[in-house]
Amino acid sequence: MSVVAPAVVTDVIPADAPAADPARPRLVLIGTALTIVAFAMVFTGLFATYFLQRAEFGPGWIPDGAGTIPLSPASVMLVTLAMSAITVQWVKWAIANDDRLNTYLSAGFTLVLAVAFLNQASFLYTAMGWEVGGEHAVQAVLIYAITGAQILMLVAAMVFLVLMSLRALAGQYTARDHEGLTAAVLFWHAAVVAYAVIWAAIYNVK
Amino acid sequence: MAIRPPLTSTVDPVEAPTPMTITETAPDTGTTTGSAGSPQNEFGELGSVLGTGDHARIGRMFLGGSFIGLVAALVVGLLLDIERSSADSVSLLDNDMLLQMVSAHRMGLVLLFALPALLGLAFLVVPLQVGASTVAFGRAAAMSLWTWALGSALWIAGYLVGGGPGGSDLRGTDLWLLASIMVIASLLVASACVVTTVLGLRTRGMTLGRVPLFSFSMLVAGSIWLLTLPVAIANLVLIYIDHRYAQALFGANEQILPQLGWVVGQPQIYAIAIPVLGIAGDIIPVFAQARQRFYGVSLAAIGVFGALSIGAFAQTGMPGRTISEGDPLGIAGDPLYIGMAVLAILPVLMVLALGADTMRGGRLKFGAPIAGALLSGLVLLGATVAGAVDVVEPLDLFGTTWALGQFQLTVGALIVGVVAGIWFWAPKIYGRTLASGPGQVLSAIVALGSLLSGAALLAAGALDQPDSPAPGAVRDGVEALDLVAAAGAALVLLGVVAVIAAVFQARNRDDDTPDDPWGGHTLEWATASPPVRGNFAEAPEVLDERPLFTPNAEEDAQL
Repeated sequence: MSVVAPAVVTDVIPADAPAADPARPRLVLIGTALTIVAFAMVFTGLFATYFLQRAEFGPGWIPDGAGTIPLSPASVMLVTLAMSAITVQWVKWAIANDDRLNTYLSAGFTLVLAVAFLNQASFLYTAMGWEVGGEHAVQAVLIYAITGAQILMLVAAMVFLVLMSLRALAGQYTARDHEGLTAAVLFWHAAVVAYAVIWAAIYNVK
Repeated sequence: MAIRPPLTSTVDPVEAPTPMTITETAPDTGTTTGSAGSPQNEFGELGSVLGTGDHARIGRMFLGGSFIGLVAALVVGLLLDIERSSADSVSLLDNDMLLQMVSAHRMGLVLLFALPALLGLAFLVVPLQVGASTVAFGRAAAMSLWTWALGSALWIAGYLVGGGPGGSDLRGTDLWLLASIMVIASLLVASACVVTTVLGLRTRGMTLGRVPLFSFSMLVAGSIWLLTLPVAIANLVLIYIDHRYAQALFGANEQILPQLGWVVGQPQIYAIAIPVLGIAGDIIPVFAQARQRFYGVSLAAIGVFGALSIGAFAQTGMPGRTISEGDPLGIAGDPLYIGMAVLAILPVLMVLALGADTMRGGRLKFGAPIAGALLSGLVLLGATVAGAVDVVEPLDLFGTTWALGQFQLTVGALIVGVVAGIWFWAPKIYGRTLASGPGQVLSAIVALGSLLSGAALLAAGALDQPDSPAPGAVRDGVEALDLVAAAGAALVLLGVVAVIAAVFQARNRDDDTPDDPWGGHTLEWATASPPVRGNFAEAPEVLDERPLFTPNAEEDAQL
């Protein structure tokens, strides 16, 4: 009877082993990071004007009582987006574990939460009842511009996530390579952070 | 002497061009960058133009479109100069139109010429310099081109229907505002493509410290544009909503240009001039046939110049500023503003000094590219000196034509720099070598015109000539200077038209263009002229910042 010698496990790479492939450039992540920076600078420009005007206006920038901005819907919107930040991270976790069912499920949940956010934003705008050319024209111009830019960013994030999810559906992303979905998740988080800043600076502080 | 022994290069001349696969972003619609071997598009030639994702083709179209924008903006500028010099007698244009033309001239030179020209040159050259087979996000690059083209057409249409800053047509102004957002957004997308190419598609061995200077300058410039121009978009969004629905924040049309004035004033205007340093830095060592010493210092100087060109803070009514009639931005006493204006001289001086050191240590040969590179550097130095003088408070130059003169010098430096770049990289852009003699003459004409125009406006500003095109705004005694400025603008226009003619003439010529006519030092000269699909036969590996440099470059040069 022959005895099979046990395999020797070693971490020494044999001299004749082929060279490792060069690291694949993470272009989509780089491009996404640059886009996030550009969006951040848009918000910086908008907020610079907002704070300047608010400082010049003095007390009563957003009036109390009738005609004010209700905080509750804005806070519900924050919670909704915070939940979407969790579900979108679930997308990343699922694809990193090659769990395709959870990937699609979490992407779907995320998109539903985003649609809910848009619906709540529409409700908030109605509740505010501010006309751009009306009594609070300066405030309305600034607030609609800033919140509108964030909504635009969120819609872009939704489109990005849908496209990357479709790629995943087509089998393009795996546990080893899921750069596109990671980039979409990164962009989503940026959109959530943008709303958190808006909530703190506009809706909460007033 | 500054020449060091050559370092080994693994780059071989392209013998059998085959596509390489550095990235998976190469678009399906990618075509050859040159004339040979163009794949047939099922929709014909038009389809291959509209649907192309080829970096060279996109770059050529950006470059060509930018020169159309340049000619249009220069014509408008010339009319304004003529108007200014004849303001006391006959007014050719009414007041509204004058204000429209001021914004069309200044914003047009930045949005329709400067940025697209540099991005076009970058699309053509940067992938070759960093050893990439294509540009990152080829389809996004194509989208940016067509969005820019459409946006530019709408931008001009906004003026033609009576809109734009100072215009009387409200809907036309709304159109202009939306078109401006569209143009800037498209240029930002293109910038992201270029920056990503430099960051993510560099070939093996090419660390950031080994990136050729033009590519590095585009990395810096693109980053600065991505950091600052979104603020202009924010301005435009606010202005659009306010203008269309309320007119409560910025009033009617007259406040639009003051709010956006920072885009065409210092320090932001230097953001369009950053690549001038890169172009000069790449050309000078090749014609000096020497390796540049202190390469890292050149990179640092370009980076510092970029940092000093961040001007989004210089907007109307920022906190702590006192706005006065002569200082509408309220920045005359801002320490940051003053410091940036003064310090901007240093990096330009540093790059020119290193260039001079390289020429001193090498064997200088003369040609159109180096003539243009040196002239553009000198004109840019003049612009930064003028910018530093501008902030000397006792001279009280705010609100005068001094700032306009400095703007003209900066744009003039850029035009000469781009012309130098076109002459230098023509074999890679068009597959032709452009005639050296006319190139030298035309660079000199454009530089002379820019200096004449800029210096005359500076002198007029020193004599308190207000920066206003309104009839009657001309101060007595400066009419002659305004005429000189108009003559300078005419000279620049003449030179630019001649450059376009020279390029067209060369493109129609059928000759055998060598791959490396100059004895170039960087990777683009290892490709065919024009480059083939995929640019390189195989991914090159570089071991230093001048992989093709040899001390005997003159013998290697094929001309």
